[in-house]
Amino acid sequence: MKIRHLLFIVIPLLFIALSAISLLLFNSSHRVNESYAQFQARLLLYETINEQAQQSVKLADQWLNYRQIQLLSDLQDSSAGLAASLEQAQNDYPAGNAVADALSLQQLIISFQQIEQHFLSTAAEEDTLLLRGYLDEAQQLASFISQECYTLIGLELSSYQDRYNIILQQVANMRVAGIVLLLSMLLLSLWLAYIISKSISTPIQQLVTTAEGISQGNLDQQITQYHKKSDFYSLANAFTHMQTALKEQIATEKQALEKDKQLKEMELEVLKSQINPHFLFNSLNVVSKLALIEGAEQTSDLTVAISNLLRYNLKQLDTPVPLRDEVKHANDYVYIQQARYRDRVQFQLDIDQNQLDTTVPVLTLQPILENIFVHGIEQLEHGARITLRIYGDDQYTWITISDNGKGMDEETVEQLLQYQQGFRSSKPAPTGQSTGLGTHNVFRRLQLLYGDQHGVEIESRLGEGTAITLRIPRGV
Amino acid sequence: MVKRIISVLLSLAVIISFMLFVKSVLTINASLQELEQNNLATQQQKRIILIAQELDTPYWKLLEQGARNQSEQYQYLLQYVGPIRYNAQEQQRMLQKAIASQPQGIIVQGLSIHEDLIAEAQRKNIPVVTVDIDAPNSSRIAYVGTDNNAAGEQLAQLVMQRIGSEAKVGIIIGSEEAENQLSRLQAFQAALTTSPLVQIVDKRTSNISRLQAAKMTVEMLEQQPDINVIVGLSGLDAVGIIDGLDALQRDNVLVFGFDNLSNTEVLIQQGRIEGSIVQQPYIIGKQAIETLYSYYNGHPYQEQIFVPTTELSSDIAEDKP
Repeated sequence: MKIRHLLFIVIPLLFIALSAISLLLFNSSHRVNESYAQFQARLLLYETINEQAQQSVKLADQWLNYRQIQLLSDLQDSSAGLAASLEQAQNDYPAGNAVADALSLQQLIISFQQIEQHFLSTAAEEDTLLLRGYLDEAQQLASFISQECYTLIGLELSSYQDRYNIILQQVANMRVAGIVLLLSMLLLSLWLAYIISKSISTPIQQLVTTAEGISQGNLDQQITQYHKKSDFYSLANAFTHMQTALKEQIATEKQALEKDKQLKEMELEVLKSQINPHFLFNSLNVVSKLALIEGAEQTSDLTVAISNLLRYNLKQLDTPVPLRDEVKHANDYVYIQQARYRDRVQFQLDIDQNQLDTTVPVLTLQPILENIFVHGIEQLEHGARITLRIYGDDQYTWITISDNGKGMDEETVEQLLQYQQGFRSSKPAPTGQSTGLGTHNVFRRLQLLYGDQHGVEIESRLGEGTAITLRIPRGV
Repeated sequence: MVKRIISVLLSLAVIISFMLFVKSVLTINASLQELEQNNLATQQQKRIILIAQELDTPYWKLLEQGARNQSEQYQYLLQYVGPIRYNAQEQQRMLQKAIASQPQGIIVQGLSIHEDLIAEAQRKNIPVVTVDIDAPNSSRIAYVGTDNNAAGEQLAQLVMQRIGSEAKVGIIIGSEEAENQLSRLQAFQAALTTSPLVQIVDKRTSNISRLQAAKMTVEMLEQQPDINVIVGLSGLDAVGIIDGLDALQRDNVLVFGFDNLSNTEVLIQQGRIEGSIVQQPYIIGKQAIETLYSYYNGHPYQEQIFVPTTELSSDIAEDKP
């Protein structure tokens, strides 16, 4: 449940319960008091009625004896008082069986009042006998009234006594229940406060721990899952996403870093082979011109080729160049080697001109050719043949360099193809004929630049030759 | 888990104490309601006063019960009054007071001394129903009660069934002024004279008191020890007679009684009392109210309604009236 909803329900509920208790408490105590007051008022009323009736009789008796005008007006007052009491009695009935008695009392009062009126209307006359008759009747009625009043008081007291005991008992019960109720409400609200605060603080604590872990680089923490309706569900989800995203990013970055590092290492190797190149170029140019002057044209050409070769080799290793340049460079290289091997080597080109625009990393072909010269055909006395074939489609360019040299055993092929595991710095030292970069280096660079798009295939049989095929994506 | 238990326990505590609290409040309110009951409607209700012979005797209490139940059905207010001890003058005064308070109906014993007051009540348009004792010459609207002649005869029949051969009968009567007792006595005596074997040898008054009945029994038996049957004509006489026999340690006397008061039924089951003629005061009370109801509503009603008596003897002691 969402914390907001919980609070919205719990707090008003507690308030309603407390208000209900107070209201009930006030209400019943008020009603008890009111009922008691009413009860007392009725008792008092009966007493008053009794006294008023007796008083009237007494006054009438005195009138008969003394005939003072004052007594008559007193009698009238008393009569009015009785009338008021009657009205009061008519508005307030006792409970249960006493109702019948209350009605009796009212009727008795009414009869008494009638006699009283008769008496008052004839009071002035001297007919003492008639008045005495009224007085006797009134006296008897007054005694009935008195009797009825005491009966009523008795009935009221006994009926109230029963109820009052029940009420007292219930008030005591109510007090105990109320105290227990308030105590348990207090405990319950404390408990709820504890639970609610805990339901907020525990997830926060957990998330804080997770966040601290992440800030310290621990990305593999288990993040607690919360109920879908909880406020913390999305928070925990966000955390999980963040952690995953961070992990991915870090992995990518690590890869990029590794790539950079390897390129740097290769460049360093290249630099090592660039021993003061400009001096070499100048010298070679001088040699070339001198050879030309001396009439040794072939020497001059060779010298230019060597110069070009060196210049080309000085390029940055990750510079992409068109395949055309690579082919030209390969020609130069082979030309120089042919100066050494003479007719022992034949270099054949089978090139699809459309594919020459494909860009490849610089020095892709030369290390492979070098390898062929150094390992493949050096031992052949004659008839060595190197073929460079370039073909392809819209997506890929294939470069196949094949020879008919001594070939490689499977172990060597396997070793060559394991370039993907990373750059091996402990490679065999280059021989005198190499410019320094191995085929391994070429494959590795292709992998780093093109990823899964590149392809390397080696077909080789001992004594029959080797064919190395590279697949390079176009338009990169 | 512990959390859940604590939550449930606390909630239960709150709910239970709240319910107890509310229950107390409701009980108080209900009690107050009863006390405060506003009886505006009661002013229109008919008020009937039932005057007993003696306030706390079982007979009159049963009669009141019947009358009260029936009144509640018709929503009449019933006022039950009467002297604490049997006292005709006190009863008369209560009748006088009842008339002065102008109820819509009075139910009272039809004593002859009440006749003037019953006439006064009629002048004031207060119908009077006599119960237990009739006052046929008064202006009462009806009598509801036992046919005392029939009851006396019934008792005589019961006695004649039970006695062996010759019988000397002693009689204890509740009151020689009370017409119902006298009717019973006359009918009883008349029925017994037909049998030559039965002889009534003594007759004394118990004044409707158990103690007096016991005393009279002792006196009677001391004077005439050959009495072998004693008959009590009012409610507590039979039980009093047994008390007297116990005091004399006699157990060869057959005892007959009237009504089923105190432990009469137990004594019948024990065989101490031979049998009793039982009146049905509950039905009398009911019928009295019923008669008033008919009177108010202009329905026809009988002027003399006899509620039959039942016979309670050791054979059929299980049959309650």
